[in-house]
Amino acid sequence: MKIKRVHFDRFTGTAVLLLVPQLAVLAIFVLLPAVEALVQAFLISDPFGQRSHFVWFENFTTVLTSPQYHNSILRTLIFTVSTTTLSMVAGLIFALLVDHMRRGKAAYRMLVIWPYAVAPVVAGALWLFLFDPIYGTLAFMLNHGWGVKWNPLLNGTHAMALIVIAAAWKQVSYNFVFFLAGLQGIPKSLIEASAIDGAGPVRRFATIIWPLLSPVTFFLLVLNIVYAFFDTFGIVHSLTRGGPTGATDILVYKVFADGFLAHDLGSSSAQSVILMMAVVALTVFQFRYVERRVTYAS
Amino acid sequence: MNVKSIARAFIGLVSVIASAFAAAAPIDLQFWHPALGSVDAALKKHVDAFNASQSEYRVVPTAHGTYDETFNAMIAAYRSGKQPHLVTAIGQETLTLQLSGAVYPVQDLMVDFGQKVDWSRYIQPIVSYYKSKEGKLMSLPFSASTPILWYNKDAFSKAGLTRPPETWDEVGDYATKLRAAGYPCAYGSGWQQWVHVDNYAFMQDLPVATQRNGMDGLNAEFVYNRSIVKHIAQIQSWVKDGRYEYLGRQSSSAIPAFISGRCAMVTTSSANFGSVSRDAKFAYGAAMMPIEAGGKAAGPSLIGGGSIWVLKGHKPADYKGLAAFLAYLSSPDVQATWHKDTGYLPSTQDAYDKVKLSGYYNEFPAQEIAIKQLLRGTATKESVAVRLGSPIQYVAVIEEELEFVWSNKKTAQEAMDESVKRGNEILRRFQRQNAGAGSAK
Repeated sequence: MKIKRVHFDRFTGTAVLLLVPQLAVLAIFVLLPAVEALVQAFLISDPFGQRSHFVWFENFTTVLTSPQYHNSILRTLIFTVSTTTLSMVAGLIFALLVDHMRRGKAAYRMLVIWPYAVAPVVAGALWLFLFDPIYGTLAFMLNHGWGVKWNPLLNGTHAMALIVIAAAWKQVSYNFVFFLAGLQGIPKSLIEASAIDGAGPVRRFATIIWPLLSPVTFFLLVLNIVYAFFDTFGIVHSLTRGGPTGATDILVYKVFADGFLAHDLGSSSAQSVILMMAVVALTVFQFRYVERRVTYAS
Repeated sequence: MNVKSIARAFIGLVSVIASAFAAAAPIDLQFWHPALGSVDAALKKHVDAFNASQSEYRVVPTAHGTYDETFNAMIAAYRSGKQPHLVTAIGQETLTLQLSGAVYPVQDLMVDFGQKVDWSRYIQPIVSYYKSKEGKLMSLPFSASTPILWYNKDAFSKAGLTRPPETWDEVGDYATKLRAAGYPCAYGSGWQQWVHVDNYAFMQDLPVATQRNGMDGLNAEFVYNRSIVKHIAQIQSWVKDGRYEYLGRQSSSAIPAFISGRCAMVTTSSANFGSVSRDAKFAYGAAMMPIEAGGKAAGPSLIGGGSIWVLKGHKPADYKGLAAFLAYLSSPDVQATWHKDTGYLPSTQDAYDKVKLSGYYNEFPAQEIAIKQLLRGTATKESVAVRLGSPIQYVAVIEEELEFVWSNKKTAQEAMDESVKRGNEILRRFQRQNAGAGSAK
């Protein structure tokens, strides 16, 4: 493949000038905080930042040897796999259904996109109103109508289910939009041709639609995993606070709770550095191995 | 008249008007506090009255979410040099603030700016909670509360009960009867760590931690696994047979569960008077916290809630206004209204006497329970305060370990041993974070 590259030999000054604003934004909002976190990870300091002691890797070893942190890793894996699967499958189903609609497509599209505009903490509060065992409406129905002894306050599985549903619900819209765009990018002629050859809907999906959607699916997979890893502490905070008995104490919530609730910046920074490295490793892995199976249209 | 003199007159006029404006423009004093619903309106009333009473200063209150969120916003602001003048912080953060070097002790402020305050007229179990080891008052007690037992009188009469329970064993018997009378939750509690750990230990004069519960030094260690296990085990047995319902961490559901009629008894903050009196659709009552039968006579309970801290880094003129504002908030009239509106404790004896003389407690006896509970018995050396570091972390550990007990994954002893062990690690880390801090003055 030939790579197209533009050269600005005669305009180096202009090129630099045009790049500066973007680089400045990146430096101030991305690089600087990351460096700050890296520095903090090697310090123990008081909340007001008046005294700091350099402690080498102690913050890392303390975190990595704690049984609570091991539990967190396990919970994060369960949470990430469930949330990503649920939100991607639901997004795809909605997209397939809307793609088939003849009328009212725009209205449905808008309705399904809505949840994305809800902030995670608010999403958490909404789900709490439905599923709180004391005053939740759906919790009442589960307990009285359907005979489930619903109690996320003490049952870890229930609590995990609750945060998975809330986190996935928020992400379904995003997945839906991309899947729908992907579906609309598939040439109708291909599908019609296969239909004439006698392929049913399932066959058409498996052999034509799914492979052609694979770039979108891969992109969404990466983004959803990053979302579940980094962006879900607000939901956990408003729904379960990591409880009961640590059942929903996912890594990013620990980063948030130790740093932003309990002002232990050293430990929180060390945890976020670990989390950052884990996600970088995971993303590299995805691009190395999973992407091989993706077919990009030429 | 020539042009020059007109110009001079004009300049003179302008400068007179300008100086008049300068004198009229009041100095803004920023006051950050947590957003606590109806309590915020009750506070605003007094701030507005203070602003109207003089023209030099204008106090600007801002609600900042939960106690934790307010505290964090304040720290972030302080670190970038934009701190407010005043912040309401939860009592458990006293040690952190004391060591921060960021606060102007209220007692010094009042002396420096000529506000005469007779601290001996304050209700002592309240005011001593906020004093340093050396006896200096660090922050102004304002929204203090203490846990009490709220009970549903209608439920009690349905179950044939005529008076509130006085001992923990009685709570158990009552719960059996209330369950039999059809109540899904006989007893539940808000702020479990405050109620079942701190206050349980306090009222029986048992230590929560060494070093006088941390008052005497940063090297304090938790010891409540020796003092409260029997109590936790008793509640575990109630969870098993459905007499105690776990209502979640912090205070989340205790009051909704009580007001909705689901729980017939809850132990939680006295400062819920506002919402209980407004929303309960049944006859409610309040009683002092239960004690152990046959134990020593119960001492005063432990307070919680917030106090007002003055932050360093502002101009002397600002502090003069702050001293005046805090003196205003402590006046018997303000304290009496604040107490009646919210259920927070009046912090001075004068305010308490004033409310009492007005006959208010005959109409609302529930409101006097918390004060009586604080004034019963005598405070010992141990039961002054709990002054420990990283409260958010160690409280979360206790709540998590209690969840292991309520879900029958651990015995009370196992869970309390583990939570003491984990809590001590947190205290040691706090000690290192603050190594080199000057002793709290």
